[in-house]
Order: sequence, then C-alpha cells, then structure tokens
Amino acid sequence: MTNAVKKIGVVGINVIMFIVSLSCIFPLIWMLYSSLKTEQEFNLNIMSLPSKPQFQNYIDAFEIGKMGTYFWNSAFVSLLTVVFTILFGFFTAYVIARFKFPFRNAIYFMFLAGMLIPIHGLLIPIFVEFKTLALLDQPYTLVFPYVAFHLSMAIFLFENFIKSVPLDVEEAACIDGSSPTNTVLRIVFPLCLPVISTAIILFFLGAWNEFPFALVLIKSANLQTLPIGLTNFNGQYTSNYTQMLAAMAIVALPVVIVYLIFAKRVMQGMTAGAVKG
Amino acid sequence: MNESSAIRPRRTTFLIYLLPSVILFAFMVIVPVLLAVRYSFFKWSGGSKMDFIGLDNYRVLLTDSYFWNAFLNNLLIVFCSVIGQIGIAFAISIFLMSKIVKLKGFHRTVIFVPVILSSVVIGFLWGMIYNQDAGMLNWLLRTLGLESWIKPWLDDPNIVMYSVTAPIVWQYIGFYLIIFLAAMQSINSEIYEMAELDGATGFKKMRHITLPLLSSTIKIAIMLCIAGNMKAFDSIFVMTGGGPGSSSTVMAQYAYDTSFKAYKLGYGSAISVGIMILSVALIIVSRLIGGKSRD
Amino acid sequence: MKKGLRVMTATLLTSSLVLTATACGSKKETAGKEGVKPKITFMHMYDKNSAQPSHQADLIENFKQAHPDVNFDEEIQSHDNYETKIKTLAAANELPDLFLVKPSMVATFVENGLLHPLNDQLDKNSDWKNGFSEGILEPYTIDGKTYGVQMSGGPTHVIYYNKELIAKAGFPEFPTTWTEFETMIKELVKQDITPIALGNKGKWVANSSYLSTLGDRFTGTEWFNSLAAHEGAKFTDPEFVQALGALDNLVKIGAFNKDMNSIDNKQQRSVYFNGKAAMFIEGSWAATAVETNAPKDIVEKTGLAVFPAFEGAKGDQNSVSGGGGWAYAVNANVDPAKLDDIQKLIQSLTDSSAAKLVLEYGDIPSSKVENIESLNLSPMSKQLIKLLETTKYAPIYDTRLSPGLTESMNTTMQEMMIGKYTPQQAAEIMQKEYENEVKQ
Repeated sequence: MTNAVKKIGVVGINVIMFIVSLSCIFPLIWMLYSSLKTEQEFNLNIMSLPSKPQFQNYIDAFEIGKMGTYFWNSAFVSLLTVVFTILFGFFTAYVIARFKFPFRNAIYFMFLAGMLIPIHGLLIPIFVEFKTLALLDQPYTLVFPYVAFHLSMAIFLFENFIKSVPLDVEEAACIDGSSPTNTVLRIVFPLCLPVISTAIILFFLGAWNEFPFALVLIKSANLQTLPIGLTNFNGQYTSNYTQMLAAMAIVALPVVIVYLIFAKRVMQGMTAGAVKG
Repeated sequence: MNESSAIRPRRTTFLIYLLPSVILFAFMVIVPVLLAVRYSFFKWSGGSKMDFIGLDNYRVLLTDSYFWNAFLNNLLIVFCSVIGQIGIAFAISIFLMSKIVKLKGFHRTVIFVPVILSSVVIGFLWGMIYNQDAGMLNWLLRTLGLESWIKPWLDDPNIVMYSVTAPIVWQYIGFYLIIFLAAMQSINSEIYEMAELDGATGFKKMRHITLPLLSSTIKIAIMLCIAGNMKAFDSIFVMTGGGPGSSSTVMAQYAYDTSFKAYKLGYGSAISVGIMILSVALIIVSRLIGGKSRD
Repeated sequence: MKKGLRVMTATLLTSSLVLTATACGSKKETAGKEGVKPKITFMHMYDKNSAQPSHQADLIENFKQAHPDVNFDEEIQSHDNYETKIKTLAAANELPDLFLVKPSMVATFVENGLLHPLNDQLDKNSDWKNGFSEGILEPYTIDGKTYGVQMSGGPTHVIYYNKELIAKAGFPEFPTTWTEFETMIKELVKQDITPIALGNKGKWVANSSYLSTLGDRFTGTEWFNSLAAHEGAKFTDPEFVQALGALDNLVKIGAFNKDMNSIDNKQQRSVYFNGKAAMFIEGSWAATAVETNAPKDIVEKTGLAVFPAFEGAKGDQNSVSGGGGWAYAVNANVDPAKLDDIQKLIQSLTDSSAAKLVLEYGDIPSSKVENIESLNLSPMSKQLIKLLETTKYAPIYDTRLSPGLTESMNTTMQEMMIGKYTPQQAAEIMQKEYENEVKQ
C-alpha cells in the first residue's frame, strides 16, 4: 500500500466515524433546540432553529404537566431500584460464580431467562398479584418489579465479572480471619466497581424510562412517574409537540447527566473484562 | 468451577446471599408467568367469566397468520441486528482500537448516547426523519439529486420493516461497541506484539487473533441481541403503530393489541407464552449453530 | 437445600393458583364510619390542570365545590393510558365505583357482570332523563337496561375544507354528489394539492371518520342493526363491499397523501393547517383544534361539510356517523349507599345545564339545549350546529362492534388501502372474524 492510499483510508475512516458519532448525538441536540420553538414554528419546519428561544415550554411542562412531582417520584424509584438491584444481584452472582450447590445452573438460567419475558404479556397477572398482596399504589410499589426484572442483567454482569477475579485474595483474607461477608464486601465488591458503574447506568435508565408497570400499578397522581407524565402532553385529539419535546428533554437530561458522570467508569468497567463469557 | 472451602460462608449466610433475589424474582417474574400460562388455557374477556378451553388458544395460534407474520418481522429485526448492531459495533471497535482514529474518547462517549434515550424519543424522532415531505431523509435525497430514491419510507409495506429496523440497529450499536471494546482491551497486548513480529498486519491480526479470542463475547452479544429484539415494541409502535395494515406489527405488539384492544385476554396470554417459547428456541438454535455453549 | 427448593416451587405454584382464584372474587369495601360518607372511587380522563380545556373537568370541579360532603378518590389518566388501565382493572375485577366506558365495551362488561344498570337513577329525575337527544343512550342499552350516560358526542365524520382551494379547483360550493366530489379530487390532484389529508396511523380514523358514514349511506342503518344483532346481515353483502370500494377508489384516484399510514390524526390537521391539503376529515372534536391551532387565514377559509350524496345508494344520504363515545358507567359491585351521590354527580355532568358548557367548549352535547342562540358560541361551533341540523346520526362502527372485530376491521381496511386486498377480499376477512366471534 502506498502512503497516499493509506492516508485517504485514514481520512475516510475518520470521516465515517464522525458521521456515525454525529448521527448519535444529533437527536439529543435536535430535541433540545426544538423544545425552545413555538408550536407554529415547529409545524412549519421541523429542522429549523428557534427564531427566539421559548423557555415557556419548560415552564408549562413543570406547571401544567406537573413534571416536578413526576420527576421526584422517578428519581426516588430509580435510585432505590439501582441500589437494591446491585445489592441483591451482586450477592447472588457471587454465590453463583464461586460455589457449587444444588440447582445452581437451574437458578442461573432461570435468572437469564428473565431477559426473554415480554413485559406487556404480564401486566394483568402482575396487577392481580399486587392487588392480592396489597402492594398497589405505594411509593415503593414499582421498586419490586423494577428490581426483579433487572436482576437478570445484574446477575449476568456480576457473575461474568466475579469469575474473572482471582480467588487468591479472598482466600488470603479468610485465612487471616476475616469473615466471609466481610471479605465479600471489603474485597470483592470494590473490585467490581467498574461493573457497578455500568449497572448503575443501565438500571437507572431502565427504571427511569419504564412505562407499562408504572401505568398499571400506580393510581395516585402524586405517585406517578415521568413516562406517564409524558403521555399527558399527548391527548387523544390534541397535542402540542414543542411542549412535549420540552417534557421529553426533562426526562432525558438526567439520564444523560448520570451517563456522563459514569461514562468513563463504564468504559473501564467493560474494559476490565465485564463480559468475557 | 473454582471451589474454595476457605471462603465458603456458613449455610445461613449463604442463604441470605442467595434467597432475596430468588424470592423476589420468583414472585415478580415466575408467578406472573405461571399465571399467564394459566390464563392461556381460558377464553377470557376480563372479569369473572372464564371458560376453560384447554389448548384451543394454542391451536388457533399455530395457524394464526398474523402471529407468524409478526414472528417473521421479529426474525428480520433479529437478523438485521445481529448483522448490523454486532457487525458495525465490531468494525467500529476495531477502528477505535487502532491508532488511525482521532478523538476516540469523544466517539466512545457519543455512540452510547442513543442507548440511553427512551424508545419513545427515538421512535418519534425517526418518524420525523422518514416523514414524506418534511423529513430529513427525503430532503437529503433531494439535495443529492437522488429524487428517484425518495419513498414513503413508513408507508410502503415492502420496505417498512427495513425502515423501522434501521433505528433499532442504530440505537444499540453503542451498547455492543462497549462490550467489544472491553473484551478487546482485555486481550493481552503481548499477543499482538508477537503476531506483529511474525509479520501479521491489520486485517490478518483481526482475522486470526481478535476474532477467535472474542468468539465467546460475540456469542453473548448475539444472545443479548436475540433476547432484546424478540420483544421489540416501543419504537416501532411510535413510528408506525404496526402498520400499514399489519406490515410492521411485531409479536409483542400483537400480544398487546390482542389483550388490550381486542379484549382477548386468554389468547393474548397464549401469544405471550408463544413469544417466550420462540425466544428460548431461537437462542438454543443460535447456540447450536454457534458451537458449544458455555458451562 | 433441595428440600428448600421443593418447598419453594410448591409455594409458587400454590400462590399462583390462589392469586387466580382471588382475581375473580373482589371484596366489597365496607361503608365508612358513621357520619362520614364512604369515598367514591372515580376514574376518568379529565384533568383540570391540563393544557387542553375540558368541560368535564370544570363540571367535576363545580360538583365538588357544591357538594363538599361528598368524598372522592380520583384517578385521572390521559386517554390512551385510560384505555389500557380500565381494561386491566376490568380483567382483575377491580373497577372503581364510577368510570367511563365506550359503547363497544358495554357488551363485554355486561357479559362479565361488571356494570350496574342506571335505569333507576335516570328515573329519579325525568327532566334529566327526557332531556337527552333522541337515541343518544341507545348504544349503552342492552335488553332495556341502560349502562352508560353520555355527556357529549358529536359526529365522527366532518369534512373540514379550505374554501379557497376547492374554489380554485372549480368548486365555489362544496360538491353535492359523489361524482362531483371525485371530480373535484381529481382536479385538486392535477393542481398538485393533496385533496384530503389523512393520518391513519392509529388505524381508527378510516373506520370511525370514513367507513362508518360511507357504509351507512350504502347499506342503510337496518343493515347495521341486523349485523350487530346477528340477524343475517353480512360484511360481504354487496352494499357494504360497495362502501369499501368507494373508500378504496378514493385511494386510487390519489385523494390522500402518500404517508397516510405513518402520520396520525393530529398530523393530518397540520398538513391542512399549512395549506398543503384542501380537506381533512375527522370528528366534530377537531373543530376546537382548528380554531386554536390553525393560522388565522386558514380558520377563516375553513368550511364544514359531510360526504355528498351517492346517486342510487340504498341508505339515507344525509346520515353521518356519530352519537357514540365515552359515557359514565357504574360498577356492578358499588356500595348502594353511594348511589345517590353518584346519581347527582352524573346528572350534573350530563344534564342540559351541563350541555350549555359543552357547547361553549365547542363540543356537541348529549342533552338538548334550549335557546342556543343566546349562548356565546364560536363561529366554528355555529357552523357545526347548522350542519348537524340537516343530518341524522348513523352508528359508529368502531364504538358499536366488539373490540376484537373492530381491531380486525381497522387492520384489514388499512391493508386494503395499501392495495394488499381488494374490497371484496377485505370484506371476506371481516366476515370471517365476525363469524368466528359468533361461533365462540
């Protein structure tokens, strides 16, 4: 290969990479600037920049759409989901990764199979169950299904990771007299930090954006979450797109921020061999 | 399996580690699945009137052309995603591992962004990209002088599935990219160095070292890809509502419509059970094709 | 360990059985403490804080202020969510005391014993009962028992047309025959204007706003009544196939925008608002949207019409689908102590004084209103009322037929409109679904 051809190749690949990256960031940017347009401007040309930024859409979203209440509910549910999924998932994955016990494989595959379940098919059974257990319409109601449905991924991630961690350190610690729980928490858990960052993003995201359970299991307006709030902007016969985009931005921004905070760690997490199989 | 008695906790501690997840999962996932299986044996339109009809729902399901059409749509998405998501992500990860691409950090961070946006936002946005008159895609084609390529992207039953699959592929490239980058970075760099000493260059390195070492990662990626796409629903629903007609209806939407629009709750449950069975089957098939499974 | 797992499996199985069992029997809530009235659980979709004005939200608020002693436990969901939620609640036999139903739900709900007949409540006040427009409660009535009381529900078919654009196509007045109508469409196509903006992504528009009216014009209402009562009428009857054919022909002559199946009913209006389309067809509810969202010059140019007459067709040529829609219904298991207050509430939301407010909001009320002239109505509302004086209501297919059949019709029609089926084939598919339901 001549140098010139090589150079063209390098430039070409860089250009392609830029196009890919731009296509990925563009939706976010489009959403942000479109949410500052008036409804009429938006209807005339969906691509144009706002002639004069309208923050009114955001004010309306918070005042009329009650996005404030939904926001805190979502934050509460999402945080609890992240904490419990990681806690439960970590310990279970640790046991599965490290020890032999009856039905170990059965239990592991049961969890993995959880990833295959179409949630919409389970709405009515879950509603019936929650009703019977008197768990409907509580501040913590949504945490149960969210944690349960994310456990599959959590156990999958942690199990893979823990298997790649050498046993020596734990053994040494135990021989020095550290109790097993102490060892797990002090030594194994910190080693898992990179996976935990990945898990935080994935589970936060999942809980933050979840819609069907939130619709079916929650009744009170003051307990509803953001995705339900979003649909209030879209009536049967009416809709206000720019206001809806503002609301969507309110929903999307926290996740983007959480992501940016943990982005570096995610890369490291995966780098550390999170999913090596 | 590593097994060390030194670190094995006492039985009660052991159970405390294991049981919270198992119990929660059992009640939130297994019990509802069992209930759904039970409902699938009934003719039920909600309320207290439930008629046991045995396997009738499944008999109908076997010959329900709408269901199998939806299944084919899912298969197409799975196929395109395995090729597209995993293929593109793999290619990009190789570029990002090489020295030729600039601003690696930027690319890595940004390509993951679509993953974190909700499917509703994605569907809404792509709906606008495909829009007949005002959409970006047709605008681009017009600007490039490719008028003959302009199509009603979401209205032509022959191409609508490809149109709705593109956003799904695009959205999750970042997810697999990160998985691959991780796996590649964990490959010991000494291996590459030795290969280079032996005269291996770019493509050969990839073909003979990277690919084999990543085979298990790729298998896992394929499994995640199948699992995710067999229940695809949201973004397609936002873009086309499953139309025109039933051209872009996927299994999950068919189950939802049957239960919540047509009120056939028993049959809807049977469809959901069908989705699960087909998903498991597809994963098993992919494993058989892909060679020995783990453990 | 092994034993533990076996015990757990057993527990799971039993609990899933127990859950199914309890799903079917719902416990009645006991009345509250003495002196304090029990809370009325009430689910609806009228949010007083919403950006969209709602007469029902105002009326509910008024009632609460006038009756501070009545307590509510309200759940408010937006329209699409409401439908999913009410079906979940119905499935689990957990419906609230008071909620909204569509006519198509009534049969299924009654069959499952979920609805309380409201005849006694209606009889309590004859002014209220007799104040409803004729036949308005019929879609909610089964075997003489009325299960739903409707507040508003105009026609689901109104043609909103741009006077200037059709004048340019050679029609200073809206066409009066179908042949002229098709000529006008062809002329508009030549002028590169979308004749009718259609957004059928939701699949119900073509059924609700087009076919229900077209069908009645060809078949007459008798046909529908016979179909609904399973007394011999068939989808494959030539008149109904002709109606499907009329719709199919509109597609063929290019009446609609190419992306009619990927935009929704709100987007179809945008196309019209931008002056790119000469007409759009939707229910009377869209009148308010035209007035509030369209540019001023478009509002001024907008005229209202219904499909022109078909030469030689069997049905009444002034019929327009309409009248159905959401209505208040009461849970069969309601605590009888609550019924008095519930009756007062429903009455206050649907009687003729409520109807005035409905009119002022630009909707068509279910109760008759005296002295309409004295009300302060928008020009669009006035046009609409005038239009309705010359028409009569025909059944709306998708609110009267079973949900399963409606779902099948909607999808099949869309497939016909993309050329997958001929009208005859489409009719056969609908007929097959219809027969399947009868069989079961």
